[in-house]
Amino acid sequence: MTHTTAKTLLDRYFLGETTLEEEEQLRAYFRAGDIHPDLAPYPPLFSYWEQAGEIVAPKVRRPAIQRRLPVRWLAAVAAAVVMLLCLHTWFNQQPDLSSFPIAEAQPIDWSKYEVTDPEEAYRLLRGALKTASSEINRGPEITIRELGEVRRMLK
Amino acid sequence: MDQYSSIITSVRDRLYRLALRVVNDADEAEDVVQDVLVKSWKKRDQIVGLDNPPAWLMRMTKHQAIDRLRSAKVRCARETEAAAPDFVAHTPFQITATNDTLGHIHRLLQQLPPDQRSVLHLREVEGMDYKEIAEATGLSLSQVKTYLHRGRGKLRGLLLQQRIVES
Repeated sequence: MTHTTAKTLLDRYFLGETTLEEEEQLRAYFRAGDIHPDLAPYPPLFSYWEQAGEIVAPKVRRPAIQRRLPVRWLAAVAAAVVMLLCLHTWFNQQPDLSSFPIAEAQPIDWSKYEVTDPEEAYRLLRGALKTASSEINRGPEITIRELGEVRRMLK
Repeated sequence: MDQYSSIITSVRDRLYRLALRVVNDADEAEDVVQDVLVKSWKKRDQIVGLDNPPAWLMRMTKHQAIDRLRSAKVRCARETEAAAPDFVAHTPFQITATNDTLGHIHRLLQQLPPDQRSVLHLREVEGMDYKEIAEATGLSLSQVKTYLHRGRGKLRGLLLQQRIVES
C-alpha cells in the first residue's frame, strides 16, 4: 500500500467509512513499519488494538467466587436449630426424682443405751411396773364413763 | 450439550475481552463471564436454537458488565485508575517503547461511555461488522456508526494533540 492510499484510508477510517477489509489493510500498513512521517502519530493506536486482541480468558478459575448467601434461609434454619437446642436443654434440666438427695437413715447403735447396771435395771423395771399398774385402770374407767353417757342419752 | 460447549469454547475469550473493556478490572471481568456462563447454562436449550448464539452471549455480557460497573466497588476502582490498568498489564506489550502512548489511549477509552467503548472494542478488536455489533450490543445500526465515528474521532484528537510518536 502506498503512503497516499494509507492517508486516504486513514481519513476514511476516522470518519467511520472504511470496510473491515480496508481496516485490515491499514493494520498491515502500520504493522509493516515503513510509515510516512505524516502518519507517525497513529501506529500506537493500531498497536493498542492488536495487543487488546491477544488477551485471553484465564484458564483456571480463581477460587472462592463470592456468591450471595441465602441469608433468610440460613437465619431461619439457625433460629430453628437454636430453638431445638433450647428445648432440648430445658427438658434435660428437669431433675429426675431419683436425683433428689434423701437423708439416709443411719443405723442406731442401741448397745450404748443398754443397761448393764443391775440396780439401774431394777429401778427402771420398778418405774415401768408402777406406771403400768397406775395406768391399767384408765381404760375401763373411760369405757364406763362413755357407756354412762350413752345410757343417759337413750333415756 | 456438545453444541452448547463448542459455542462457549469459541466465544469465551471474546466475552472476557468485552467484559474487561467495560469494567476495566481483570477479576471483575472474570466474574462477569462466570455469571454469564452460569446464566446461559440454565438456558442452554434456547441458546443453541438461536440464529446467532455468540451475539446473544455478548449482549448478555455487556449488560452484566455494565450492571457490575454501576456497583460502588467498581466505581471506586475506576476513580483510582491512575494506576496501571489491568487491561494493559495482561498483554505482552512492548512496554519500554510504547507504554506511555498505550496508557494514554487506554485512559481515553475508559473515559468513554460503556456503550461507545463496547462498540469501538467490538469493531477494532473483534473485527465485527456493523450488523453484528448491533446484535451484540442491542444498539441500532445508526447508533453503532455514530459511536464508532465519535470514538475514533476522539482517539485521533488525542493522538494529534499530544503528538504521540511511537519510538
